[in-house]
Amino acid sequence: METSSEKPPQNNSQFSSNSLIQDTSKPKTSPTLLYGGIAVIVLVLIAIGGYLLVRHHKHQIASTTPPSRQTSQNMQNITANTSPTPVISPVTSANVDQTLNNTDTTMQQSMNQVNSDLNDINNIDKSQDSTNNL
Amino acid sequence: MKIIQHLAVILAMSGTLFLGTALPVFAQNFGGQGLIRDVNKWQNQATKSAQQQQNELQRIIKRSDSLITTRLIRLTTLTTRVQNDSRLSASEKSSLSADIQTDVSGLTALKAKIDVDTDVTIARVDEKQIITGYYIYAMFEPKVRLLIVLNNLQTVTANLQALVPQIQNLINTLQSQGKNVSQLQSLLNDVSSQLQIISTTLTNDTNTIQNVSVTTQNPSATFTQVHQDIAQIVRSGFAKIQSDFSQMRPLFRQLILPNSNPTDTASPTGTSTITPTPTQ
Repeated sequence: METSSEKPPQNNSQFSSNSLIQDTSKPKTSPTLLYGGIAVIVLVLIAIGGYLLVRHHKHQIASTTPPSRQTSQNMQNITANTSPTPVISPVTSANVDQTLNNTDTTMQQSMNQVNSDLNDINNIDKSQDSTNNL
Repeated sequence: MKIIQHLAVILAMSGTLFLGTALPVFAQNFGGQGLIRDVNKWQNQATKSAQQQQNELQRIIKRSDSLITTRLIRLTTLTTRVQNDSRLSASEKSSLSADIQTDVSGLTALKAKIDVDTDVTIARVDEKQIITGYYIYAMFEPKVRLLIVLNNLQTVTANLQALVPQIQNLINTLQSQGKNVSQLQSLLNDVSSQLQIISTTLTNDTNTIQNVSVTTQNPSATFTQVHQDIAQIVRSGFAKIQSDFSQMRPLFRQLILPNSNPTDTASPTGTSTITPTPTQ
């Protein structure tokens, strides 16, 4: 309240009118035009940046997609070339002959082992457990 | 009078001295010598007997050590046999190895006891325990080896039983294609039947063998029976299955080869054979 009473409005209007007079004495560069120009340049730069960004992104997507497909294809090829051999493969027309043949071999090997084991059992000297001589 | 008294005393003392020194001589000459001889003889006999007892104890300890060592060697060989078996499961190996280890520990402890035995009678009882407490040759080793055989046969049987439904699926597929599978079906039925008989026999025999212990009367009879089961039922059953397979193979070839098209290779369950995709 005291400040407004000390500085009358007339002094402010005089000061502003003086400053306008001083601006007109400088070279003719309109602030509106100056700010407008700057704004336009900024907008243009943003637009260019955005365009370049979008273009770069599109190019990146376009350039990365084919190798990805290629990798996938390679994996399929690897999978295809190394045919998996499951522990118990289903019996099919393609492998039934081999399966029966292998099974027959396995059975024969098992019976041979059984015969060997039974011979070992027969050869155990059970008289070693006699208590007659003690 | 006094002279007579003195003479009498002197005579009495002389007589006493004479008797004291001369009596042992008389005793030796007239019967005492035999008594001394007898005492000496008894003493010698006692010493000799003690020495004989000591010698016998050492013989028992030495023989016991030998008996235990040979048994421990058998058990070590048996452990190696179990561990190197390719068909026994981990649990079967663990169970059999634990049984063997129990006997190894028992015999080792018995050896330690016998080595410090001081009484022949106790040592003899301990020595007998090496045999009657374990019967390594007559009972334990045949038992473990038969269990190995039975477990192996059960594994093979289980694998064959897992194969049967897969072969059945293929037969069903061929039948759905209008093929005559009656012979194949008959052979597969026989395979299933044989496997069932084998499986039942093996299960019963395994239970019988597991119940054999040191208290079993005549375990040899049990072992002989299991031997016969393996020889007559299991072995002949496997032989029949092998024969069935050998007959099935040409039948499958006959049904499959003339129509070997891609759809034929598909199994009826939809799990087709894994075939490699051609490389592009």
